[in-house]
Amino acid sequence: MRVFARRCLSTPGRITFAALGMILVLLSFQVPASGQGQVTIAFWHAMDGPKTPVLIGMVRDFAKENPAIKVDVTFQGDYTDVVRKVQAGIAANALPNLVMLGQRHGIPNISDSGKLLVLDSYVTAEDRKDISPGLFGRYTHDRKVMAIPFLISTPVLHINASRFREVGLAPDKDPATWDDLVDYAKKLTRDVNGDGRIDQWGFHTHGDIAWHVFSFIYQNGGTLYGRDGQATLDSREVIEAIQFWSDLVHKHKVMPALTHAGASRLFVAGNLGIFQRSSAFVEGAAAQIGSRFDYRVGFLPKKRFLAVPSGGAGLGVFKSTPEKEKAAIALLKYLTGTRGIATFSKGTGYITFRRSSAALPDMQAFFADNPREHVAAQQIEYARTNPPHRADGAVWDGLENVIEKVETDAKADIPALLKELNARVNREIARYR
Amino acid sequence: MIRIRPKTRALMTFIATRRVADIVAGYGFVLPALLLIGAFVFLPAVYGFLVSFTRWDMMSPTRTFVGLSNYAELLESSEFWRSLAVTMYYLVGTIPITMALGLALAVALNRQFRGVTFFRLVFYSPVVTSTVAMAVVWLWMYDPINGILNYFLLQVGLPPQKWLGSSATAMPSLIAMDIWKYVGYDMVLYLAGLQSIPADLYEAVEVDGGGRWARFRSITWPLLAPTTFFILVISIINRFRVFATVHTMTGGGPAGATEVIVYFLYKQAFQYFKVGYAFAIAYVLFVMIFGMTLAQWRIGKSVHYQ
Repeated sequence: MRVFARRCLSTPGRITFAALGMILVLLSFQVPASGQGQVTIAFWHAMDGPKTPVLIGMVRDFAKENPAIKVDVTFQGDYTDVVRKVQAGIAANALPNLVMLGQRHGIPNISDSGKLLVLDSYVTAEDRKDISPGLFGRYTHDRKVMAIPFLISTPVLHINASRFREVGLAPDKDPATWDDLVDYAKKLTRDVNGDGRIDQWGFHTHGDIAWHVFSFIYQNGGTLYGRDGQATLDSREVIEAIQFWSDLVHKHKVMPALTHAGASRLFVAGNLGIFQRSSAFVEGAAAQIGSRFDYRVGFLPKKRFLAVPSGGAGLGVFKSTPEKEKAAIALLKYLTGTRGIATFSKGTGYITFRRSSAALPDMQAFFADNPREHVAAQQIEYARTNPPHRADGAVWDGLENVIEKVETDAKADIPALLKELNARVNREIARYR
Repeated sequence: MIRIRPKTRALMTFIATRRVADIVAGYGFVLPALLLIGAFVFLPAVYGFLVSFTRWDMMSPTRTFVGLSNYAELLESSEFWRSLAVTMYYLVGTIPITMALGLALAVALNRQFRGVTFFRLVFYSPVVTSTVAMAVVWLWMYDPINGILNYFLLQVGLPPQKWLGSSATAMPSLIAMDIWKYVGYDMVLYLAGLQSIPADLYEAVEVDGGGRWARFRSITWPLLAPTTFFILVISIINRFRVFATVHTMTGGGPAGATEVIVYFLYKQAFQYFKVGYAFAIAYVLFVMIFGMTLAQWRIGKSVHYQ
């Protein structure tokens, strides 16, 4: 050992080490390979799970039709992960060309970096007629289109029709109003085996609580922000929506408190009558439920309006060289065109939000065979959303916090909580322009 | 022999006698590590410190200098203080119990019997298991409706708990999981400490007629003081940094009951896009941990045997 160490420290030894070190450093610089006249673009997406091959397949078909374009597709995590990676990418100047941007939060902030390409000139008048304005608005910032909707979902009611029948409800009737919802849910909440504990619940929502709260707010005619860009979370409509939520837990006792993460399992096992979750859950639910019970999909109820929040993501393009931008736009148009949306919807269960796509004969046939998938495609016409706002992340976080407090405490002072949240959000808005 | 000019020879002698070549070689060997640490630790730390005086979302090309207002906002923010209190709750809940259990296990396993290595392995394996993978499994165990913990409670006639679904039980649930994960780490460190205690000291106590408790009280515990001190310092530093379990299991909820300070920082940076503010939080955290470690060092000086 000592002899070896001495050998290392000798002059020839040191020269060897220095040479090895330099080789290692040089190897770490990779030179990207690109074919002659080929343009390589990078596409970051947030799709995982069994539906991903549909997206990859579509990209591959695009590459076959466009041999001059090579697409590097990378899964970056969920929508929040993509935003984080974009944040880091902007700082490091390492951005993709096409990116999947979740509508939940981040679009205004990313747009303000100046790195996103404004897509107005690529959107035709037909596109604007083809896509519901409530939906398109979610991807428009400062009156400029920053992304094209792609992976779209709305919350829907997943219904256990067998339970409906068992408790004397018409199995194919959706609860049309909030009162109907309470009425149905009360009937569906029961202690089946007489042990004093409730085994079957009437209503529950999935863990993306804020999104479902939005649906109640919009149904009650409320909005998250006013025209002046200030938050309106302490308005009467929002208070009533939160109060309704609280009543579901504490007054009518049809929703178990704070168990949203396990609600899907509860539904799939047959112990939940009405389950509000994204329309993207339909195929997975059907696969897990099998023939255990009669599963159908229903529309959300209304209060003053039938209104649904939109969810999912759109596709945006980052600025780069003219060739790469052109290639990215070509891929964007391919994926979000009439045929593209139809293919994508059929394969994944995301919504056929383009009216022209939904009207295609093979889509019509698909809906006839799969009535569950048709509900969301019809519901998207009632999309009612605020345009993206810089404070969306704060609002989402804050509302979830309020709901958690409300579900835990029957006596929570809802107006006070919302007033405090509203003040806090407006303070953030003021601080950050 | 090569003819060398006198000046050159003088220079070579200078280099050889001052062992400049050795010095250069020394720095040369350290250089790669220095460069890495410099690039990934020091530079970002300095950069972050500068950014903490600005208002920035990491994306816009403009950074607004705001002086100390991020730090002022921090001190006035009730959420910051609450996250600090939550972190303290976590520290006080996990560290004493983990250390006590680790010590007990070490004492119990500090002997030779068939299978002792197996037991040591079993208790240590949670330490090296992926935190996220474990968090997911514990999430299932804690599920209030389908989870196995509530199932067992019901079997013995006890009421089922809400675990992560209630502000009162969420933090204790995370604490329990943390203790389970790290008790092996403390055990291994204590084992090393125990094995460095000379056996003849124990004999001295036996000769004086002392039993097991006397042995522990007068020999084991005092001689383990350096180990205890070390574990305490490391535990505090590590527990301050807890993030993965909170992110995977509770998302800081319910209603902020498990929002530890690093999770609060994460949300500020990536959900609220207040990167300057997040860096300010990071520096306050750094100062606190540094201060605590310094204080412990001072106290610890009296702990080592003279």
